Amino acid sequence: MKRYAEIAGDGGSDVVGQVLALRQRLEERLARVRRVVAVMSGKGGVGKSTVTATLAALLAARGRAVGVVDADLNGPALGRMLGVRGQQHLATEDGVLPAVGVAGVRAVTLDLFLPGEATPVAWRHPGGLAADTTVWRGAMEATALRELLTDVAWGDLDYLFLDLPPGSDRFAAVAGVVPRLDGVVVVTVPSLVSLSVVRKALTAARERGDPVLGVVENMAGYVCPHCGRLGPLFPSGGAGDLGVPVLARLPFDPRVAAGADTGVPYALEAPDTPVGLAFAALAAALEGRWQE
Amino acid sequence: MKFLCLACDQPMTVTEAQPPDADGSRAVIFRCPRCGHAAAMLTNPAETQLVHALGVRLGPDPGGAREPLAHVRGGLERARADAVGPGGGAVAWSEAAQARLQAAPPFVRPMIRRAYEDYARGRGIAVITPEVMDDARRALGMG
Repeated sequence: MKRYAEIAGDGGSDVVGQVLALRQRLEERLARVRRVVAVMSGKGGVGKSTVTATLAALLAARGRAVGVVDADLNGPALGRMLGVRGQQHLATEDGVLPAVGVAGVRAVTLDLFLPGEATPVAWRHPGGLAADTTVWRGAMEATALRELLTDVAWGDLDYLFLDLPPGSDRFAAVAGVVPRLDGVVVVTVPSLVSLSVVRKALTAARERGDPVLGVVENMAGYVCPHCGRLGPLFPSGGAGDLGVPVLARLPFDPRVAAGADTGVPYALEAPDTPVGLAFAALAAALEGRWQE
Repeated sequence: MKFLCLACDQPMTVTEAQPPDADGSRAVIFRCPRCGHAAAMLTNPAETQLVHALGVRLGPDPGGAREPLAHVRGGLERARADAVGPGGGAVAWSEAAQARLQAAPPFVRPMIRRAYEDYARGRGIAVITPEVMDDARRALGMG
């Protein structure tokens, strides 16, 4: 009787071939991207998506071709932050055109596929089992992310940012889908809780050999609206002892949140403010990493 | 997974893959190319879901063009019907409309341009003029 290895193929469906073809299409798409950069955080709510959107917009305003994938599939926020909510993706022979946001940033987010702002991301399931079956849901999300990367006609890009969901475990899942990561930026706030989680994430990243570019310390102080002086916002912390370069320390400014709500990052509108200057330094630091 | 006809020691080939039934099971029919013996592989719901989640197709001819973002568009329980539209032709801008666009800050021009073009494309308008921009602003609630 023939054994498994003696039989070529699977009788017609060629599932392995289909999976390999999908992977090859993704590699071809990314071949036109100079730098694939993941933005991650250990904890949620530290401003990761705001940093991603602002960084992307600043680099685009400098003349770089920039794309952003909202890889936080269950909490897509970049539609609003990049000003692309309500846009329609257009189908072409090469794939679906990305939405075009502030400063010309090309973006794709599940937000644009949902009928309303309050609609959660829920996957249709063929039936028979609960919809939240963990393994199935993970596979659905991985395939969705692969599609967002592969089926979008990004064109030539200098940077493609992946705005990851919070949590170091999610980073590993995303990294498993993306065949090439040129850099990882880690966003934290200077609280002991956040830094503790980031420390764990960095250990895991080092063990995997991920190309960590450095850490961004968000909400690193509060600029007084009256006197302009920078004061502490958190009683503790400091990202300086994490063992990776600190790419930027971004002061808290409520106008940053307001800018994120309107789709125009505040740092673009107010480049000479402390937070505008800090974001500009971050963009310069990121570009500098590949010019060294 | 592969199927072998024991009588012929011959790999069986897929002749049909049925869509999921109400219980979440799929039937994939294999047939021996030598003796014609047929067998059905019946998946349990978890297997059906896993295949679906991988974004691959089962069947004798799974090839053919994939619709872009088919998994996302078909997989979301509640999805916007018009999330992806036909590309259509390019939309032209009159000189006056171009000039008006230039009045906007540079970093918001690309998304404003895109909003007007989407509006025009959706209504079969070939050239964007200041009048079209006014109509779009009213329709889109752009103030």
